[in-house]
Amino acid sequence: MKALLIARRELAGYLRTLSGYVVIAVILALNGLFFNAYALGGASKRSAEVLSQFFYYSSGFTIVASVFISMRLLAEERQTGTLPLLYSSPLRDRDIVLGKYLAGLTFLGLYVLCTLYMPLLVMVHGKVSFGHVAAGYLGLLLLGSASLAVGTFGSALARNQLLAAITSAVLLVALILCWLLARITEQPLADVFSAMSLWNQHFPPFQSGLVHVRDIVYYLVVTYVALFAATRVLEARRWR
Amino acid sequence: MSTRPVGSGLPMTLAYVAGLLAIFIGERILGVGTGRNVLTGLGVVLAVGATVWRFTRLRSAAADRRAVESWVLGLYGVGLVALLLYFLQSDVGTALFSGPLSQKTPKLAVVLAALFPALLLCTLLPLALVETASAAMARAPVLETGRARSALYSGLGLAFVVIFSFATMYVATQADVTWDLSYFRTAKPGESTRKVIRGLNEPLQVTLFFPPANEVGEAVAQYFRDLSTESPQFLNVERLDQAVEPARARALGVFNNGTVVLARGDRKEPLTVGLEIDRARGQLQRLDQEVQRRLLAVARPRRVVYFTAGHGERAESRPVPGEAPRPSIGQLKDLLRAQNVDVRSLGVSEGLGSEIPKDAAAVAVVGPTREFLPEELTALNEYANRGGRLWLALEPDGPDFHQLLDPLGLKYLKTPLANDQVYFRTTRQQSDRGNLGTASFSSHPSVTSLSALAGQAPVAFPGAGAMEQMQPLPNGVMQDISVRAHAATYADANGNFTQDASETRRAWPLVVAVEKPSPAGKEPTRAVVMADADALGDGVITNLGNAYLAVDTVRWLTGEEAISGAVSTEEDVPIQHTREQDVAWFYATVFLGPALVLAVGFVKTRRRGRRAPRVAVAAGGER
Repeated sequence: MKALLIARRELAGYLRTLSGYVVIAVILALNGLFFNAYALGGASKRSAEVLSQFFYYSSGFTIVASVFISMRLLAEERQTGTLPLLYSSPLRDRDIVLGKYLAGLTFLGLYVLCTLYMPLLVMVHGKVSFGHVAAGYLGLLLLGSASLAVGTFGSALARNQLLAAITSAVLLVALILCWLLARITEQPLADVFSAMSLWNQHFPPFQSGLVHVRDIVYYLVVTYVALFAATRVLEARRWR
Repeated sequence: MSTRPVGSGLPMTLAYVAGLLAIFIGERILGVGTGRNVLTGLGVVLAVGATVWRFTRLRSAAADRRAVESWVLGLYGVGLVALLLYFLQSDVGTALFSGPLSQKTPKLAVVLAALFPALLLCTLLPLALVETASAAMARAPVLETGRARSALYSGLGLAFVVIFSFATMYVATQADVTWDLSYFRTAKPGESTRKVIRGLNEPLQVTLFFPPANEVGEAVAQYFRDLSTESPQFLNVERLDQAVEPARARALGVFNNGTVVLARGDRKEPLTVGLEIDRARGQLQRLDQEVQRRLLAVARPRRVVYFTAGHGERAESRPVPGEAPRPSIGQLKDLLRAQNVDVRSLGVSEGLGSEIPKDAAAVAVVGPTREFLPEELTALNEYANRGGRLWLALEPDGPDFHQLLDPLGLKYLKTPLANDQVYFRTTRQQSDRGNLGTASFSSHPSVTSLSALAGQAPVAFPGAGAMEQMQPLPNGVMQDISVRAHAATYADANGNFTQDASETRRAWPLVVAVEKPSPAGKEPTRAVVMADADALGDGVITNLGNAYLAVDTVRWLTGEEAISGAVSTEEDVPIQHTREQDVAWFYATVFLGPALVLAVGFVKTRRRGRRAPRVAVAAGGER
């Protein structure tokens, strides 16, 4: 409940100023540009292929958006010196982390929702399966959720917003590059790295309209672990 | 109680971790040889040595530090247990148990393989955090045990969560469930197929050969269940397992499951779909089309359509030497054969100079470049007058056929049409303006499917000529302009693909269906005149609109318009845009969407600014 109060306050912070809308608009414009240039451009493609490529590029922009959104979550409080105020309030560390994460996730969800007109445009001339669109968006939300949680962890570690963005980006790139490690290591490590890969192993099925329980569980687990770690980082002030 | 600090334990922990790292490199990266033995041995010595060193430190530690030291030593111990478990299930264990543990007790080997990394994690994570906490209190006169305990619990908590996560992921991967929501549906019976079934007047037997509980079999059975409601008395659908009923399967010419047989009397038409859903997808998406093709073969009489030859017509044959090659109509003929049409050639040697064969359901003249002989024209005219069916697809560079068109009330001007607003861009030259496209159809039976699909199936006419209706029309002739060009089309008399002052824009007729009463007792004459033969050429006929135009034309000409209608297909379609649509999409996606978001943001933030409380006016300012 307390987490929801923080989430409302934080979300209002995003939507109260024009900067939140500018972030969405800029990423949306870039997404649209890639959609036109690569998904639609060139030779005529089948609807499912266009849709798949739309989700491919959107997944990249969702990760980037999550870094931008998460960088301010806790690092901004620390940068402006307001974190002790939060600590002194009757809130548990996990409420603070969860509230801020939920606000970020809602904002990210708004961005993802704003991209909906692109697959709907595919419907004008093509044949679009609503199941495929739903699967793609489920994948985008889960990928965004995991990336945002990792970003929240990065934000909890960093002293300022810039460092938070860099830390989050490094962590996410490391998770994405796990597939490279999977290629050069041997069993059973290869399996472990492959399973840990944030994008290559778990997102492409959503992109082509397939929903695997293992992929959903993976993104939920990454979200949980990252948020747990972020909570522990806040708690670390007691012993560090 | 001594309050003297005993120094940092960090070097010991670093040595311990270095030992573990050396073992990892030796075992996992080098894997074999002397290097492996040296590194693994060194690692074990370092890890055990650091633990012994820590133990001696614990014995000499002050009382306040003893608790923390014992926790750290415990963590070292857990790490050593993990190492022991690793060696038991590696080749050390093989030497000890005179055989690999994975063969002797496979379950134990798996448990050990899963347990040792978990224990290592439970060592390293808490160790790192406890050392961090201890380092922060290195100079403190008294060590705060509570802080170290918090760090230990944090580390253990993190390690447990990571272990739980990996375990959850493992279970989810093993017990994975998948939902395929990509574009895939089994086609439902289309209107045309339903009409064929409705028109049955004799029993038609459909036998499905699939094993029980087969996914493909279920999809096919559902299709025929939907279809059987159209004629429950004549359509008999039966599902059999070929393995259980081999004799009946053999009688129908089936030797494997995954086949559907449509049979009526002696005629049998098999359709192989397959048993694996992944491989059968394509077939299931086109199921209605494939079933209709076989249905027409068994349920309707075969019709003969003659294509005239010998005047440079479009054909499947090689081009005449000295003439520029033109697209053939091989794909059109295949399409008609799939509609149970017997396609035959009709030249002078087949009787074109004297009389059209009696079995002709229709005669098609597609894109001739040379004039017909007067005898040939006479034969065609006589055929038409006695209730024959003519299909004329003309070209601006071919004959105008006024001898045939005059009685039908039509005139072919041979002037090419062009449109500078709506056209198919193929070469990005001015000449592309001759590639007309239209979705303007009448409600005539020869375009039933096209008008039902409305704008979803535009028809392409690359290089059409101008056609005009004669006024007044000859007696009894009824005309219907079934396909019209876009309203901005003009007859490009000088061929410059630009509209000149004398070239007016109008919706020129592109396809005209003509019906004329015949002498008593005869069928009425029917003719379809198309202003472009290229619309039936290879490549263009694969366009959905052109294919429907050809099929419905033949159905109307042969009197089978009752079964015209769209075929149901769930196949994905390529997305094609005109240049204008490309531009519209670009602006919509790159500018309009983001601009709307900014506009909403602007309105929301402005409104909030207005609602904000104004600065109170100083009391002195009040009147």
